[in-house]
Amino acid sequence: MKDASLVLDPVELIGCELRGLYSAHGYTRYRMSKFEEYDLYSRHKEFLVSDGVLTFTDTDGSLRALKPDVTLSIIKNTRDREDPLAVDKLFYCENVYRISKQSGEFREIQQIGLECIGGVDPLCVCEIAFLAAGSLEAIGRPFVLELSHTRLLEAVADRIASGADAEDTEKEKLRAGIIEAVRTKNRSLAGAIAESSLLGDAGKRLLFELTSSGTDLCRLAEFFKDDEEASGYIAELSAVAGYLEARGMGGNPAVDLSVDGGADYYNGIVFRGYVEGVSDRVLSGGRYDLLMEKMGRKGSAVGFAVYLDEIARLFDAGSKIDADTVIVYGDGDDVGQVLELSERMSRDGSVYVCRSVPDGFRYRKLVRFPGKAEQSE
Amino acid sequence: MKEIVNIALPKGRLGDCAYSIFEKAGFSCPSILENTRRLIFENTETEGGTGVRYFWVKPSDVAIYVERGAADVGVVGKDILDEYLPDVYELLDLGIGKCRMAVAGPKNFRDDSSKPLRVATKFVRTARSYFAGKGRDIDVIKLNGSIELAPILGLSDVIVDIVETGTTLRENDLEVLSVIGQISARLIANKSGFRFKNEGVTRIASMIAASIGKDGK
Repeated sequence: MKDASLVLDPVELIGCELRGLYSAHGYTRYRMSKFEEYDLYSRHKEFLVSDGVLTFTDTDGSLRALKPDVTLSIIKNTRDREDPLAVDKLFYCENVYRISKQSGEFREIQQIGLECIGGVDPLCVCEIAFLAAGSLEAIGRPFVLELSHTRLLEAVADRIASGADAEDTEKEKLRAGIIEAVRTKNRSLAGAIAESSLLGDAGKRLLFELTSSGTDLCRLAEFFKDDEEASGYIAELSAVAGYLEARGMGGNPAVDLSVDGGADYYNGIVFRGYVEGVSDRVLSGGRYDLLMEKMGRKGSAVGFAVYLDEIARLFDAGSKIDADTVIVYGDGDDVGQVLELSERMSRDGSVYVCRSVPDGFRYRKLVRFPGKAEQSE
Repeated sequence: MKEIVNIALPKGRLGDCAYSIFEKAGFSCPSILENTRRLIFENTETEGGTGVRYFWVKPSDVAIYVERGAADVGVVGKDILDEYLPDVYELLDLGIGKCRMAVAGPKNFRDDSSKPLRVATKFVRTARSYFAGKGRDIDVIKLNGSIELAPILGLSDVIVDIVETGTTLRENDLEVLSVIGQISARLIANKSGFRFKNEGVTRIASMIAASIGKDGK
């Protein structure tokens, strides 16, 4: 079989590498239909990343949709195990159909992802985080994997707001403002909140720290030392961060409470991955026990998706050649001999056989049958 | 190679003010002041220590350039951010370009709540969100400019638009009926650029903040 790198483009190669990575860790491929009952999405609209679902009426009169999301389908179509400790480890390579925020039009988005469903424990979460980092590493560019915890950010907002000298309704607005300030790294908003709400010094300092580059888990641990629940969230993040550092993930992950998982169904640890040269996140995911519960499933779940379309922009096709060798034949040339020459030369690279070379066609070597190579690029 | 931060500035008065702020903070680029038709201006040796590359962009497009990574940071009005909700970091309020987003209409306007209120605006999302919060049913008429004409010619009952001094409204017998929010120019950053050019982006933000007295200290 030919070397895959000769026939697959860089994104396809990365896709293959990721499939290999996931399989090596015991994840099995889950294949699903492109279509799903529309009802699944209408009942769980709050969990969809974008508004709008591409629908059609099937031949039996049922309303179907081109999938805007994979996780919902996987939860719907897999079953609870009898053993509560058992986990289903699945990976998928699927396209989803969503409205692009930029263009306002539907787009087909190619993604590859993992789901770990059932008796998810801290080991599963560490493994998923490791595979997320490994997925970014496979792209071959500097990357950043960021971690956050949705409940920890809420706990921070609750704690800072509760310490403010304000009425309850004002505290609720304050809480929402703190979350927005941290999510958007908005130091001006943080400053306005600090000035207007008579926050304590500890709350002000923490708010300013959280709106700068990253999140210092030690500082947070100190802030929440008397809060068992929040301390648990911090311990979760520390465990994952510590594991990845021990596995030599070079400065990854970064803990940053501004990160959200990109969908409302994440409730707990969330991941987001960036690769240098791509303006948007290429990976997002997290823990989604809440979605499992809403869909009547027992157990927990954690997963992530890698957006292959985003990665495609990294690989410039501008310098690519169309074929290594062009063989030009003429009327009267023996068809069998021309094809035999083409077959022989294709062992060393791609061959394009023609009577006339198309305008703009890029190649390394030109052969006029039956002669030798005339020129090379 | 030294890190260069790409900066999208809005064309016009706001952009000139914004450039002055960058210059004062130590990120000057003298060639930007030359009378030329060039679009991109670069200075790799700024006083502030971070190389910069400026380009002029239509004001309403700055957020798109930043969101899509063509610019690492940019200057854009809060009105644009609230309307289009780009996925960017809003690092700083620069305190320039101050104005208000307001509902305006004819003097002594009385709202007839038995009918949908016809609202002419460029800011459709902002208008819908504001009136939804009031529980008021509206009919939005999307316009691209000269919004003040709409109620005068009977195209709409009121408008939702930016108001600076209010002179245009007054001279056309219109007045501010309610203020939706305060607007000013913001320094925004691409989320990926914030991570991979973190040193440069945070240096620019913190030096500007210190320069305009908004470093929280």
